Amino acid sequence: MKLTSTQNKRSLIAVFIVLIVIAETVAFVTTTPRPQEQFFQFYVLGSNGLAADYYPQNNPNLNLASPVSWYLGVTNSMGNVQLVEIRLKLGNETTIPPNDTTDTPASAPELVAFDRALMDNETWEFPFVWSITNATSTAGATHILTIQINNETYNVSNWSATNGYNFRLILELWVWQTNSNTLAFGWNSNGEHRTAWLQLWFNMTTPTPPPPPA
Amino acid sequence: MTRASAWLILTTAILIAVIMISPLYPSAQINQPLQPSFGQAIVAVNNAEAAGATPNETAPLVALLNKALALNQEASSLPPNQTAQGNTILSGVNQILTNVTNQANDLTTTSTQRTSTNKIITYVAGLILAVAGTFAYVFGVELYQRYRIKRTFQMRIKAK
Repeated sequence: MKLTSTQNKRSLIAVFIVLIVIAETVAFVTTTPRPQEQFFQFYVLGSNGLAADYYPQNNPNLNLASPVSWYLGVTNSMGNVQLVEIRLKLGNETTIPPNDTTDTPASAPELVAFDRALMDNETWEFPFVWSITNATSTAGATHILTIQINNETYNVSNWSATNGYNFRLILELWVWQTNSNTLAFGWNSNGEHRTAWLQLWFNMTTPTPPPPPA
Repeated sequence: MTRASAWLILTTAILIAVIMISPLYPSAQINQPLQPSFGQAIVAVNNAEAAGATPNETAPLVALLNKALALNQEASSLPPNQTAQGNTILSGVNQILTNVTNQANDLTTTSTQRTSTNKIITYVAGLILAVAGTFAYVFGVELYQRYRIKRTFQMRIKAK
């Protein structure tokens, strides 16, 4: 191919331009990070690490000091390091649950919180063993007084439920907000605020110790 | 005058509308004295990641953040009569967070340089490949032309 020909020079320039456009497009695509969907996964599993067997003998009517074993987990898929907090609240039938529309947390008082800094794509899963250690029943209402969580005892400020029915543990995911330097319920993703929370119901109709094993 | 007051009312109305539309997310007030330090540390780590730091590089910083959280929890669970011990732990937490921020800032600098270098190398490699491809095209066309010429001169005329 002789470069003296004008037609050959033109075709050569055209080939070079096509190749450089292809090569630099590939370079741009490989060096530019792709946007990913930002979210958290928040879950609670039963004693066997499955979404089942949440209560002993599958009976949500608990006795005093009867241990309930769960696993709590959070997966960070936000694309960077995040500081998260799981807040545990004890509620009853009248407790206002978290509201996904207004992004408000539950009205129940906070019992305990678990904090953790999570890397991108990291899952934080830990055992969560709890039991009601002290409760009384008066005037048709069961009052929970103390609750033990992972071998720590927490006082509950006289939380009650009618006839011991419809207590619930509410778990909320709070995330560190870098713009306000505080933890807030939920997280911002693509211009939207999202929340994640869980609740599990239980009863304590007769606050008595569990029957001795036969 | 009327126009100025109308603008004022309009601006105030827009501001009130923006404030009312913006959801006020409830926030916690835990670790209040340490909140700025935690915030700085996390922002510094996020900046390092955005600059191109790898998970292997940020993992030690995240481990330090978790250590700070654990110590903070320990300080919070102390009885009120152990204020001195609590303050000692909290100053340790502050020190850890300062270290995280400094290390993350250093990591941001090195990651930025590395990312820039990698980008330049990638784009230059693209240019080199384009030039090499063009030469390969010239060489290929020339080879094909030689082949065609050779084939033409190899032709024989056969009498039928």
